[in-house]
Amino acid sequence: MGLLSYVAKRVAFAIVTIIIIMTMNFVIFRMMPGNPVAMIADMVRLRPEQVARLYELFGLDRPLWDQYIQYMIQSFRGFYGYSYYSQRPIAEDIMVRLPNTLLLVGTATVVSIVLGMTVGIVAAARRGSLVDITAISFGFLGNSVPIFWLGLILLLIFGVDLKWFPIRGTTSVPTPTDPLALVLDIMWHMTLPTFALVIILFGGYALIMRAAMIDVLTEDYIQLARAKGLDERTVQYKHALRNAMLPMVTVIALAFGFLLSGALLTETVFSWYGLGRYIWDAILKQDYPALQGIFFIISVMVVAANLIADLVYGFLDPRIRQE
Amino acid sequence: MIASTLLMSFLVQPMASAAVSSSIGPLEGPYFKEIRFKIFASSEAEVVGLLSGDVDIMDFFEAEQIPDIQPGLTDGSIETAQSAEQGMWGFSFQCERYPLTLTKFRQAINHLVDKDKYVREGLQGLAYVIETFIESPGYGPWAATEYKTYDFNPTKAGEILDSIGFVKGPDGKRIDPLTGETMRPLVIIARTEHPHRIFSARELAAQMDIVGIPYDLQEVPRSVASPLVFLEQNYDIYTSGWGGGPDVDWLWDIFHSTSPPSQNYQMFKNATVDAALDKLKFGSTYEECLEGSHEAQYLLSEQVPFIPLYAKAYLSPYNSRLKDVVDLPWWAGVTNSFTMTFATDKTQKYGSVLNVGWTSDPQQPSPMFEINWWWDTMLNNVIYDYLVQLDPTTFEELPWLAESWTSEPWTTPEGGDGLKLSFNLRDDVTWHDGKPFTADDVVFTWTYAKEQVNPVYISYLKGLQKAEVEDTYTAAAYLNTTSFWALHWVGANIPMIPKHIWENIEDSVTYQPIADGNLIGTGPYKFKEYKPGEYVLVEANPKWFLKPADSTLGYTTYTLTQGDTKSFTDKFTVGTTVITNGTYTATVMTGAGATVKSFTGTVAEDGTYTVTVDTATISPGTYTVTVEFSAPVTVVGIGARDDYNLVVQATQPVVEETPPDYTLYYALVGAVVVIAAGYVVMRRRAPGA
Repeated sequence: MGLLSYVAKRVAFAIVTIIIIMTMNFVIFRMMPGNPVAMIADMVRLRPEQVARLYELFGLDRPLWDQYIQYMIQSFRGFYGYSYYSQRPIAEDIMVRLPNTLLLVGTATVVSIVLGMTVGIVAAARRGSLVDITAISFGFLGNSVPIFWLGLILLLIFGVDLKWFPIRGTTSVPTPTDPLALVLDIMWHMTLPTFALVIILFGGYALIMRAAMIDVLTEDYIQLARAKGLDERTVQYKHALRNAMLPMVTVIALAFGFLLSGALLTETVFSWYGLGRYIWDAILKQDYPALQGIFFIISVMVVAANLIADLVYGFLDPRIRQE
Repeated sequence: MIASTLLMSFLVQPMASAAVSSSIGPLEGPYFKEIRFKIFASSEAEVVGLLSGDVDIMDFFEAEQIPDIQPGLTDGSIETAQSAEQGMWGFSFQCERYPLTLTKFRQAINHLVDKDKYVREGLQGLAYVIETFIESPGYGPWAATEYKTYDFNPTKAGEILDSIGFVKGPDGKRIDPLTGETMRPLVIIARTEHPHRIFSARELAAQMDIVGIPYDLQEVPRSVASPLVFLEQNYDIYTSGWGGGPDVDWLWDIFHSTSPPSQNYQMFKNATVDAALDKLKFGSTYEECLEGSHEAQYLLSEQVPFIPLYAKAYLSPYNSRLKDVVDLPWWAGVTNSFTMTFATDKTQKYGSVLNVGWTSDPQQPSPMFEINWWWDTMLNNVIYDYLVQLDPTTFEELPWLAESWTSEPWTTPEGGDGLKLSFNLRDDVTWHDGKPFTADDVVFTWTYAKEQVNPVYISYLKGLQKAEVEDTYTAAAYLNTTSFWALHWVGANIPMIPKHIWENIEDSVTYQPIADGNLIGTGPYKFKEYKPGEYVLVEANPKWFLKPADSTLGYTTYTLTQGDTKSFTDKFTVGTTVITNGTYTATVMTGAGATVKSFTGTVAEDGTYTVTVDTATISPGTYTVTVEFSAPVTVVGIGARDDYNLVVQATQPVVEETPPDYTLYYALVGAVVVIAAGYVVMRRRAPGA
């Protein structure tokens, strides 16, 4: 099987996966209890024509199959309907929040991966040493701390007691107008949430990296490299690391797939105006179209990231496309 | 700037202190230069904001959160207001569903209710047991003194059930006398977002089980409960909650047979109760309404369409730097427009910033939006004014946009009894965009809100037959009712909106005034900025009619070096006629009001007036400048006035507000860069790398 047919097969798989996910996305939200018009009607005495207008706006007056077809067509066009809550197009709601999430979660993911890999490599090289045990313990600890709790503790220490960092938001109130001040202001505001995310995330990468390195370091060709008289650093970085990177490719690709959804609780604790907080609000307000829209985008991102990982794998490891 | 075009005569008024006296002292304000509504994504983070001083008052606070703010209470940085909420929690019965159609059956269930236990265990004691519907202390004499009470007594409940034929069957369940079979289970709906509602519902269900009434307890979120109860009335027993406003005529909305089912979801229909409720809502004197209130409460306690259980205790925390906060029980706390307008900072009387914590974005801030969204309302309440304001503790009318009002009988065209309410407006009120506020705006607001069938106001305007402008500052409403509450309906419940903006808006319900910069009211604060997900800012209105005489909040400040000049120019027209015979002056005054220097302006041929303030002979200091225009036109004078701050300096100006301190940040980033660079250099030099 050649590279081309391998790529074609992977792409076809990805498309089928997305269609299945979208169908489930549709079915699940239609099965949920309650309806948005009733929610709004709870807040105010609506006139019958207002109720009708809302049903029409949300497309709830049409038969289910019609809603499904509309949903599929509109999703691919980038139109995810109107939010029950804001009554604005969901794509608009998402677009204003997207940059903030990419900035925060992107930074945290990159930092975590670099830190995690470094710690993993060092720990593997000194397997069983105090450094290794400390690194693994911290990795596990960070990985298992609830981020909501961690975030609040960070806020109480650095926001309330020390007053080093702000306790909420993406920028100060009011937002600085000077561009340089604005950049610094945003960096200042994202320090604590980034820190919290890194603590939670780096351990996972460190553990995977360490396991992969230890695996590789027991291979015969490593013995050979050492026998050749290469110094330990060259053995580790030139010979072991490159091969140990294979599982990391998948993990890293997936991490970027989850960029959009990865920081739901972090964004909520630190009042970061991003997509995680949007999901949280949508869940609380039972804003189904908003959830549907964002789930669709996340699904596409994850499937695409998987596809890229598969393709990169195919390049890196010829055995895979031979299967 | 002064309004360039004056479409109608507008008299200059001296800016005398015009405080309104109320039960909490003279009302004048605002004292804050700005309110920052900061949006938090979680209430936990909002509490952290209160502790850190980033939040002064909060949108919501539950008594259960007290341990979270303990550090602030201990060190004195947080103070609290506490009382009983003006509302009630209870069980509603769907009175059209057999066997709840039977009064005796409902009374029997009332004997299964252990209110003391609900409060003690379901609410950890943070509530007050109530026996009647408007029992909160704030309602004073409106609460009934005579009503039927039902002790917690399952045996008695069983006896009542036996007496109406619902006897126990062999399996211990009650038999329905109509069918001779075991009675159907009663659907109890409890909303999961309030643990105390779940607690009460489970307790009631357990007691029903003991006496043999089958039940089907459904613990569901609001989204499931709402359609069942409010839209379909498809339930038997529901754990209700009602927040009562200052006017007790809301009792009518809940229990009158003609009230829509979304309100009277008990589907309760009883002619005797209707008569009492009508007396309460439409009685023309205080005494008549009071009698109706007491009668209705007695009859309702007898009929039991609803079992009042408890009113929750509330605790409303605020930063202790605040002075003169106002606690409103019907808003359950200090976060209200009275606090925002009349409270101040203990150490800085004028010019501090008030920070309000919000856990939501506003939805559609507009006085004409179809939904009373809590955060929108909070914003609307500081931007818009009412003709009449209700006193925060006595609920009596305070003169607001209307200085005074008269009420006289009026006969409707159909010959019915009606009322004519005339409001005499203040003549010193301007909209935030500078246009004068007049009777035209008042009549427009009433008719527009009625034409647009705005669901929030429609019940208040149902009786409005016509509205007339009597003169520039007198508006009259003609109503087909003589109700004692009519003054509140048209005067205290409908915010005044500017005609010049809204007359062009066809569909007020979907209109977003914020998008066009049209969130324009007459209120104490002007809308400044909304950043979605982050904050809403409003700033002090320097022309608010209750502005303290010595306040210069909101004035534009001109900082000049001694010897500099500052010119003011404007143009005035009446209709299309340019006025050239007016006087245009600028007066520099000290903070105490003493005139330092006056300047008289000149007029160009095209009618442009210019006045120049020369600081050459003014010694360095802080002053106010009043720029005034007046002209005799036909019989009434026209005029306008604007005030500014003037700072005369001998040296360079100083920066007013310091931006956030980034020193630490620079240090941190610098340290990271140095360490990273050092590491890289070391590695490069390391042998074998």
